[in-house]
Amino acid sequence: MRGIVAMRPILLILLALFTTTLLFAVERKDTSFADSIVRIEVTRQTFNNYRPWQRTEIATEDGVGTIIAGNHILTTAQIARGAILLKVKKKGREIEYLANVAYKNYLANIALLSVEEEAFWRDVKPASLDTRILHNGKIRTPEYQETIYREGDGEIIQHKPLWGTFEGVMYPTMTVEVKGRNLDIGSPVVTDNGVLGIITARSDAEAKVLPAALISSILDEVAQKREIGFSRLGVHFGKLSNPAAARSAGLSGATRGILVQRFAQFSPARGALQAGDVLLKIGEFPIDDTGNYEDPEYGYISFGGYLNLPRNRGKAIPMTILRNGKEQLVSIPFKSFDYDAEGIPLYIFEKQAYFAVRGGIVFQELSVDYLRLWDPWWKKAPSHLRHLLQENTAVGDTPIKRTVIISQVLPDDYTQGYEDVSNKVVTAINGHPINSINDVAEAFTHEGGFHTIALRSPENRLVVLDAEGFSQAHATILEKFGITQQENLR
Amino acid sequence: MKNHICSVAILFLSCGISLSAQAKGKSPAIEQSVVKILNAAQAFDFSSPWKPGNVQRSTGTGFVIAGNRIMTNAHVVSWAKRLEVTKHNDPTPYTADVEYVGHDCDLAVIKPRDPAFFTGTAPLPIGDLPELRSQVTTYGYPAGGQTISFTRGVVSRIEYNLYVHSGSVSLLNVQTDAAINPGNSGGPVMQGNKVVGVAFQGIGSLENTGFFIPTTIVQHFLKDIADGTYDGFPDFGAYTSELQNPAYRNYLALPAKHTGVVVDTILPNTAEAEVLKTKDVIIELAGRPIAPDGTVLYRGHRVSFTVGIDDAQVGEVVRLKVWRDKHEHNLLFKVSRNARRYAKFSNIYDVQPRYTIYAGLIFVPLQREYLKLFGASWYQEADDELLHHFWELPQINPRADREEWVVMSKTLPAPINTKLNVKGNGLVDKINGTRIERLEDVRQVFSSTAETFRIEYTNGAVDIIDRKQAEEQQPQILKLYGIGKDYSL
Repeated sequence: MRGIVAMRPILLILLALFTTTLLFAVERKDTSFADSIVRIEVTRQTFNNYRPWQRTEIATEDGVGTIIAGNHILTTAQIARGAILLKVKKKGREIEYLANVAYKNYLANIALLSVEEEAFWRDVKPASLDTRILHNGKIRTPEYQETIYREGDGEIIQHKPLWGTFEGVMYPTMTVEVKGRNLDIGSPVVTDNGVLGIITARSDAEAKVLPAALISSILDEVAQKREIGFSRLGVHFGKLSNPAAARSAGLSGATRGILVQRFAQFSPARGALQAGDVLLKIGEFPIDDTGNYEDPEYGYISFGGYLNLPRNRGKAIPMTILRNGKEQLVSIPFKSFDYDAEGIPLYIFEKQAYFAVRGGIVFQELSVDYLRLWDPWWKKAPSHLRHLLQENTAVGDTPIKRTVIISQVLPDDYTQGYEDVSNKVVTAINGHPINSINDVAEAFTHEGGFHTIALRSPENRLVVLDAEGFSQAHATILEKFGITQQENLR
Repeated sequence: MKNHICSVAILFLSCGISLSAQAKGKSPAIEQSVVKILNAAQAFDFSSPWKPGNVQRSTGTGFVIAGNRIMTNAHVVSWAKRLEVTKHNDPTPYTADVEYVGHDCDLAVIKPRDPAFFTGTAPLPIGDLPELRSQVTTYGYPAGGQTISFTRGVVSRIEYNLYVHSGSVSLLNVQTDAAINPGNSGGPVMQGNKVVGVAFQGIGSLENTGFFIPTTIVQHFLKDIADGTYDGFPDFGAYTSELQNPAYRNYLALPAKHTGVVVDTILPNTAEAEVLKTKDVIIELAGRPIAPDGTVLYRGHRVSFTVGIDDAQVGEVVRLKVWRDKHEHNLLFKVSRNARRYAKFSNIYDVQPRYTIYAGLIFVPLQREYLKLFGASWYQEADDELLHHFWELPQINPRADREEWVVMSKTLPAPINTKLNVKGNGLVDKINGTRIERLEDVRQVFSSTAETFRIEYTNGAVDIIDRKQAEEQQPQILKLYGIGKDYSL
């Protein structure tokens, strides 16, 4: 009897344990991401690109992140951009935890957030990554609607190299059909195996998804402190579809290949390729006359997409070319693209623009972020500044030649008569060519006579200032217009 | 170059809402000399430059001047296929022809074929520039009304303004608060029994503002046509900037007694290039001292210093006083007018657009009329490469500019051109190594017997056309797209 009596509690406990496990398994499948996804509220402030000594108004935005191994929250760099305060909320609840940016990569558009408060890490479950390269099939989209966790259905439409969110480079991206209401930027798309990718852009039912395969390789590189980056060839090419053009390029038979025309400033292909070369193969794959090739893993894709495929990233790019009627092999080094390596960068992100205020004149290095003061910039920004982007790609100076403009002239007796000088490219100051903002800072050295600033257009247009009164006027104007920072140099 | 400015869409040609205010005590003789003009016009479609567009009817006003002529606005009679004029209280239409038209100054004279038209009319005498605040009366047929209408107002302002008909030329004009509405165009603005101006445009965003062409411009036009041809207003082939800053004055060692504008860029192959030098300070033009803001005192009004050039007829000599190398220099220069430059920057009327077609590729000059195909904000929203060569290049490096840039505007799809890299809006640099300086060069190069034609565009793109195939396909392409002639130069 005693034995039987003694057995009961143990059985009960075992039974209870079994039931609990059973219940738990019914309520929460292993494949749920309810304890992995977090809502992110970012408070953002960047620099005013017209008055670069000032910051912009504060703005807030919502995003989504996924908790992954290593006590990190995975989201997009776009969400983390310019963040001065990041708050995360888990399980659809209102409790906020402060987060910091642990890693940010604009080329790939990923960011990792960290949270110091230990309470945050309780009852959360790091999601695993599903690094399969899928071209079709069903996916799910976990999300919180208020406190309710839901999963929507979706489907992969395609998986091939596309331009990244911040242009710049091309890398494999999934396009998926999604339905969820609150699928903000950063939301994961998942399978039973884990997170298949995170949403980097969305329009209605279609979302662009950064694949976990790519995320995983970047995270490994970050952990090992050997980031590879993403390459861009920077070659402008012409098609050879027209048989007359193909013949003229030295090709016979069926049309194939593309014609090299010119190089961007940062291009790693300079030296290896020449204008007039016909690109015939990338790796072992023939390039057709539209610039595409058939990739064994990714299907029919643009030849530029080859560079950053997971199996190719970081390796030199072997190419077969036709030069002077002869086929030959060339190798283009893998060089990671850097936005700042373009004379007029596409983005300066949250950095302060390079500027210098001198004698009431605001000098700035031109960037596309400056042009974004006009919306849409490619239509509304001054056309002569837009055109510089094309001129910029035609040269290959080392060091990189920056375009310095006078963005505005602050009205004062000292600058009288130059009020209409705005958005004008500066070619020289006191006879010294201006190729960066630092050249401006160093140009106003002498004290007697005049300072002459030569503008690009109209030809020979000068802005002449009194050098003797320069220092005093400079100080007075800074004071008058409340400019507390007179420069941000390279 | 001050004439060549981008027109902002605030000014409108006076075609709009009607307003009739009965003036009291009007002279019957004046009324009798103010006529209504009906224009059945047919303009060309600049996107398909071989194609005349719809016939459109519009009305305007004109007035009888000496020599059995009727003066009106150029925009009233533009693209006329048929003109009819009717007199006040007389429904008989008289057919008329355009005798002279000045699209730059928006003036024209027309002549009814039947001299009997002038029975009962008296030529209206042309007066002088009116005084500010003095009262004026407009006569016209606004909004196409059947009977004459009058509005009265005062002279509000006399200054330089853009003439929207050309879209590129600024000349003296007079602002009044007398209503000037569509249909008023070409009507006389009277003071007493004299014409003090010709009503021509308004500003949509401002109330009670109308503009008329002052008699200084009218007289310039009449003097110009006296020899039987219209030459137009001369232009100024240099870019200047104001000389307001004391440091800049000192830099040029300009004595305190002088003010003026500084010459920055001089266009090559102009009369200005022969006399002016970079960093000259123009201190006087046609005897009028120039202020630091680039204005001169002209009949009591501050207006652009180029009034001295506008006042002259093409070929006349104008006096200049410049400050150069710390000395005054008296210079003379013969004013001229560059017709190609005018055509580039201005709205074009009365002439078929120029084009040439080869292998289904349409080549046209890079002109305002072509850029206007990019929409109302063309000056901002057209392709950068085109705008750069249109606006900026002549200022950055005028020597690299061409007599006219040629654009491959669009492609009429045909087997020969389906696989080309450039399908439209491509600025042509060279064809078979020949620099294309004008549209005629394109036709010239394509008439050669080369095996292929290599078209190089300014953006680096290249296309190659097989001559034999092009020649074989050309007749079919023209037939398919209903093009009578493959060029108009």
